[in-house]
Amino acid sequence: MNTSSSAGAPMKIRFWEQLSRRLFTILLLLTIVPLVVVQFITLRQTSDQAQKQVFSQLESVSSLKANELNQWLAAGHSQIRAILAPDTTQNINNLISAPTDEGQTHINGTLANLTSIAATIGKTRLFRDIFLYNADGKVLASSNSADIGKIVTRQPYYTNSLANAYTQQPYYALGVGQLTIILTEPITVNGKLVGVLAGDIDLATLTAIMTERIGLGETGETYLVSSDNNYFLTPSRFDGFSLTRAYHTNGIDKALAGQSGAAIYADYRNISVLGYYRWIPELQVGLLAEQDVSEALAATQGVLNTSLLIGVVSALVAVVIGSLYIAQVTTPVRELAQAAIEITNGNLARKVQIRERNEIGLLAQAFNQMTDQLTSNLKQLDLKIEEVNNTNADLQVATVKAREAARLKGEFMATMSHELRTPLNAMLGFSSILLDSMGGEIDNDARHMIERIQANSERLLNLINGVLDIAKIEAGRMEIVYKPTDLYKLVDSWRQQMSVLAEQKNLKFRVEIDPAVPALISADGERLSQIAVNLLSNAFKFTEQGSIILSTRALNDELLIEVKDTGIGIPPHATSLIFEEFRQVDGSSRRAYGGTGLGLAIVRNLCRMMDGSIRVTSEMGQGSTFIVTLPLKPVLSPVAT
Amino acid sequence: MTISRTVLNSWTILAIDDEPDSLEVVTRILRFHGASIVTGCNGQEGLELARKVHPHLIISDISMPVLDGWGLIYELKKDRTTLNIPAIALTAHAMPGDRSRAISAGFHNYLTKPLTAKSFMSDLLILLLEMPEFSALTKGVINE
Amino acid sequence: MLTPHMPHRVVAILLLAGFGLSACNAAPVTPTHAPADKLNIQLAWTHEYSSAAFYAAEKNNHFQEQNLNVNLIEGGFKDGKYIVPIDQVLNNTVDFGMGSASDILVARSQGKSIVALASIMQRSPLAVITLAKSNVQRPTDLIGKKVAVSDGGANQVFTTLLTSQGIDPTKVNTIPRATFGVDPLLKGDVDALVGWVINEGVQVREAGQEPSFMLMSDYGVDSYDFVLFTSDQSLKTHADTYERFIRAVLAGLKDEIASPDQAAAYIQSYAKNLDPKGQYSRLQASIPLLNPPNTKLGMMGDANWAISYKILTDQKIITTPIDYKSAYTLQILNKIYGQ
Repeated sequence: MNTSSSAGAPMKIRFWEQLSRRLFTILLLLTIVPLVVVQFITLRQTSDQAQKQVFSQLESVSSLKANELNQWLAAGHSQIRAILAPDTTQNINNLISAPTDEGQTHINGTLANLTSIAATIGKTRLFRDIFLYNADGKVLASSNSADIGKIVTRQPYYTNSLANAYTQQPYYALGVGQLTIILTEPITVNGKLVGVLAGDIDLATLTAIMTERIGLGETGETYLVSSDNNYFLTPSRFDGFSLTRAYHTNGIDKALAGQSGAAIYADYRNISVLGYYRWIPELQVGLLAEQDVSEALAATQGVLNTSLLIGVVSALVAVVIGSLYIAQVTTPVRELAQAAIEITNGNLARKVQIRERNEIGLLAQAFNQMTDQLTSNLKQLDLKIEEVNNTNADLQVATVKAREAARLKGEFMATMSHELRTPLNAMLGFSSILLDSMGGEIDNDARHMIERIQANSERLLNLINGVLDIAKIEAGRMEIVYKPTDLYKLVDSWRQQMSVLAEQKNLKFRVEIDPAVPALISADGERLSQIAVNLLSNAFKFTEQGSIILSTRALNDELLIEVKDTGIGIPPHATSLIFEEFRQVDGSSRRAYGGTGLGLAIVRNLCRMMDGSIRVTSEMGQGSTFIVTLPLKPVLSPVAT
Repeated sequence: MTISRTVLNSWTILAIDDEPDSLEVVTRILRFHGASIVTGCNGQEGLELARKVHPHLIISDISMPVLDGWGLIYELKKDRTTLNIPAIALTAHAMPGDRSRAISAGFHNYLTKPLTAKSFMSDLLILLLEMPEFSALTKGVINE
Repeated sequence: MLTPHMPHRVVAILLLAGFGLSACNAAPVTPTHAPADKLNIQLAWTHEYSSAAFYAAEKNNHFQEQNLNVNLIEGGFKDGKYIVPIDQVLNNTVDFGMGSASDILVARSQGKSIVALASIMQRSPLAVITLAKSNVQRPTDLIGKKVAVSDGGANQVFTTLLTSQGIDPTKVNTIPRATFGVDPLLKGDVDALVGWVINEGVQVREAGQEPSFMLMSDYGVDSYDFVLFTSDQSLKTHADTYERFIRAVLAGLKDEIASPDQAAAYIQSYAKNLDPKGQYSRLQASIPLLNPPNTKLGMMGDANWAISYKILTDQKIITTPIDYKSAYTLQILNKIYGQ
């Protein structure tokens, strides 16, 4: 049995294509992917939530502070208005219409007292200064004596203060460089404006309100921005940001455009913040409440971290557990592979252990069955091969024998031909010597007997030649030697050869050649002669009266040789029979007509060997016509024969 | 057609055949036509006789013991004294290629057995006529 | 008629043509737009913080954006003589000059047809400067005190201040200022000094003292002291160009207010010898004057012109009445602010 153990080395298992790794990867993915997705969604939701919360927080802080500011301003206004109690107003009116030093001093004192009133928010005082000026803008009384005598016509609040209660938006007072907010209340007596009571608000409160950072974490802040020039009116929580320069951010610009809302944008530090921007129309300023995005969403970071931890732990657990179960699949598979390899290498007895009653077990069982079947098949195959080899051996012997037989046959024929001819040589030779008067005188009686000896010797020679020819043909040793042949000459020789016999039997013998027959054809003259002479001999033999015509014709690419006689004819049933060896029409004709019965067999064989054919038509009592058809091979260039 | 009985006068012909009957047939025919015959029964004898006698013509069988026809012609052609003696093979072998084989071996030509007296002579003469040495034979060949 | 600008135009065209030709030789031809208009501005003083708007306009390419080639001519003294911007404008040496409203009104009363187009500072920086530690806090405290005042506009305004407060100017010992500095005040040689809060006021602080101010504008006396003016004729022919110029200057002014430190850096590049920190302080102090509430940059109101005119007429500086409203025009500002 031929085992191919080197048909292919076992496949090197690629690390990354390993089943266990694949399963492992799938497992890992299946645990990680959902986790990641969930995490992502959670993160988004959490951060959205956190964002909403922070915005909400910022909005309420902003709202709260705006309220505080408005309350503070309102408190300021109402405080001033409260000063204008009827008797105080009267005093003021007196002072305005007829300023006296006492009056002035008195009111100065009143106003001075009022500056000690604290703001409702914070512990700072509400007003720095409170002063009073008449309709012409001259300051008649003030909590600060230095103000007295000033003319406020060039102050920004002046014109508006004459019309109604006015809040001058924060501005930097000249020279002092201090931020100032002036609240004014008109003083009307009998419906007529006589003067204005104005308070210079202490902006410590403003700053206190805006820099209160409860609920704003570590990075949250609120601040005010001036609509004049985008300057900060209250300080930034962070160092390095001057109050006296313009700031433009999404939040600031929107607030100063009069809008209120929430957005995420880069603040003046160029850090991403969640911001609530608001326009305070009472002060004509923008209020910004902002918190860094990073701080606002810090909580979500915690969530992210936690879920990351969970994810990692889960993955590890999955890995550990999974690995155990994966092995349960991959180990049997490996075992199967190993068994298969061993079987391939020749160990047909290798069986796979069936451990589980599942698909793997089924596979193992089927595998074992397959191995058994394979083994028995192989045994059968071995037997068959032995048989075949035996047959082959026999065949070889037979072939050798057949070759030997053929060889011996050939040798036999050659030897036979020689051996048979040799005694005939003596027989024919001596008889011909005697008959040719080369051996002395012989009387007629002796002549007759010697003639009979010669005739029989010739018959024997014919038989021998016929048998040898058949044997040659059948052994394939008959060669057709094609040579350029003058058919005309050949035909003429046949005529010559048979003309004597024609004379003797007193038969008309005619030989015709179609002029279309080429002068030279490629043919084996000897064999052609053998055919022609054989047919003619038969014709002469079986014809007693009448004629024999030999005609040679060329038709298309064929050469036709026709021997037509007016002999006894051939019965219909015998027309094919006659071509068989040793056959004559019937046994009696042999005795009557002689012949070996080989002639037509040889003729037919020769025709076949020359790629031709022979057929016969005959009518009993009328005659027979034998037609030989051969391929015509004209030779174009003349060659000497 | 009759061949003259003197056509082979003054000819010495060496005939070699291991079959006595065949040898006798040939000898009788040739003698009848005037030739002097020397005979040998195998190639070896033939060779010695050829050397001794220097016949005008050798007619030899092929299959003979001791030294066969092929060996004989080989030896004849090897020997300067005998190589010019024309030799004709006379054999019962009738296989194709025998003629050409004979001629390439050195035989002038080749005649087949079985023979008849008349056919043998006419064939022989035809062959002899081809040999330039024997143009004298033109006379007396054809007698009506 | 050969206008004062023609030579500049010709020069500009030739320069541009020459540049264009050389550009043709060197590189692929770039399409040339109309040549920039050349303007000459006579500053009122040497390069300093008060001209920061112009520097910002130049450095931030606002002049270039308006297709202008502006030449800022330093003011101050030449050969011992103060370069008078009004004269420069009138003799067509420059297109614009910087000066005070009172100077313009006086010039107009003299028949000089110059007109103000915009005011860089909208409040007057003038104040009576004292040391905070002194008791001189109110105008009435000045009676019997020594006050250093420069002649001219400062003196006029100071006198108005006293009179509007019912103080007899003769009761105040007014002496002319000997120096531009504040040493007399610091040393106590004078009790008060009339100067600019943005300059002398800063100087007092720089000397380590706390100043106290009696701002003129706190006493109803306000004026435009940094006014851009040109001649009536020039304005007629070059209104469009001048509009572009004013736009650029106001853009520079806006930049100055938005980024004072950038403006300070620009000052440094023009006024290399001045202390940058000092210039920055002065610039900071100027900002409330440049951009007070309830007004637009560069804007001029009638009130200040009227006040300046009244002062000049009350003090008989202007004797023949003129229409003070002709001293300024809002035609360009209105166009800029789309009114």
